[in-house]
Amino acid sequence: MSDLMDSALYIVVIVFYMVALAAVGWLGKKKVSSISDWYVGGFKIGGVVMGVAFFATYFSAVLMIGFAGSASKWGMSATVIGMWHAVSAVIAFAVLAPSLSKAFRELNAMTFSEFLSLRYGSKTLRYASALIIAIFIIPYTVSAFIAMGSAISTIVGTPFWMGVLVAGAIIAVYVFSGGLFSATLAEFIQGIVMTIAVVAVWVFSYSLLGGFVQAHETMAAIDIRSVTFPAFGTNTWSVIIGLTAVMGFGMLAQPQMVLRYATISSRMNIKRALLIATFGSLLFPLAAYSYGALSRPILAKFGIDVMTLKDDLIVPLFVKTAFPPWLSVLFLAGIMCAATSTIDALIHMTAGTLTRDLVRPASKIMSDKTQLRMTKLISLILSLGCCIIAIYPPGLIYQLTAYTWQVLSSSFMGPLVMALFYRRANKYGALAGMVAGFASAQLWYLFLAPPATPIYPFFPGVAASLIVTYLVSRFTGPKQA
Amino acid sequence: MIEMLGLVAQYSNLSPIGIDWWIILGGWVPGFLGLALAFVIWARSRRDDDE
Repeated sequence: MSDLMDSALYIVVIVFYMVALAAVGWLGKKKVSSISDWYVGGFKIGGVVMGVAFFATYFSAVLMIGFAGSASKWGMSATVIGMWHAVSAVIAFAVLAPSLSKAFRELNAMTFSEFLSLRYGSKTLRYASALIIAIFIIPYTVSAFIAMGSAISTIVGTPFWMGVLVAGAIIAVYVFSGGLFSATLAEFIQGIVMTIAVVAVWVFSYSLLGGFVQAHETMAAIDIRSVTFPAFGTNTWSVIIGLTAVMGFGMLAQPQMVLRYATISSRMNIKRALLIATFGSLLFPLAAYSYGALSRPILAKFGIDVMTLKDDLIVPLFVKTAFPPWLSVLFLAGIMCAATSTIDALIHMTAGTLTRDLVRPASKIMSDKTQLRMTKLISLILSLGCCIIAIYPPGLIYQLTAYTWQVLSSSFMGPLVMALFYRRANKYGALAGMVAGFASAQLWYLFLAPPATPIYPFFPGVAASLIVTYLVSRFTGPKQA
Repeated sequence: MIEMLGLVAQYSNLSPIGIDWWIILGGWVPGFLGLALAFVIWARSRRDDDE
């Protein structure tokens, strides 16, 4: 009877969530009258909404379930990864956003690839960057659907395909109707709900263990390594350092994140977004990694040893075993919000890139109205297509998504940073930097990635991208007088 | 708390809250400094706006 009540409660939450997001789609639809409105919110989105949308896009259900599950084994040292996200948010809004939003507006760029193409005056750069985005973001989106479907099916007990289709349908409706307006408005709501959910679980976990210091005592009694930083050179050490860099600084050159911090309406709004995004980027991962680490001593009380479990299964088991019903429902709502707020950003960005940077240049004449219709249609096809691939995933998906962030940041960091801070940066440098970053990350991944060496492909990839963009621009540009 | 003091005495890198100093100095301090910096930038921009 109790299980039946719980299931009914879960379904009520899911239905309520669908209705709320459909309303967001309807509101967004009323605001979209031009192609710029759909792609970049007409550069009119405010700081508060964008600040929350930023961290809602940044953190997905993968952090709440997958990484938090891994933190159960890594211990409190995992919080180091999360705390550096706040530093990355400061860099995004205080260093990059002022120049980038000005450049986007002046060039009237509506996608990341279009920005690179217009800044450097190169169509090749546009096609190449759009292709990299399409090849790596689509499988990444599929994997986000898979993560969400698995979490819903484990917690609610519904079939996997049902969770995936529900998410796909919700996202398709509001991204289709309102583009970036709807996406950021939805992300604003989702960001608040998912933060309340993780903070509630975080506080609840500490209270179960008798408080802040007592909890760490209990952790230390089980395994002292769960409260200490891993020894230099060990496998856990390289994972923590690698993820801190990849998830933190790698974020800066992710096209879907760039669209969040480059399209704010004014300088004052950038400062507002800076404060909110930094606060969220500190609180959310700190809470998620902490409850992940705390789940080990809590589950130990129920006789469960997390070290014998797969990382992805730990948090769903933690929810089912230790949470009261109200917290399970809140956590489920948080997972749905975290997953959809990331997926909608990926769908919006990829649909825009495919239409504006690959399809439109191929067709000689395309009016703005046709382009808007086509972008919306592609966003619909992408949402539903990714759902179907998620239900029947080919093995290649897992290989591509394992290092999507690393490949994207390796390819784009040099061209993006040099576009803003090196006036002599030119198309030859940007192209060479993109190819060098992409190739070094790929080669490192194939031959030298952990466990062969403790160094992630991100490090050589980003270094190659920055150095090659700078050097080639310097030696191929016009000579200074 | 007494148990914690025992642990701190046993493991020199453990802080009084039961977490390694490396975790606090290498992660928590930079994170909170980032937040403080964001607050200062935001507060200064508000003051400039008022003036």
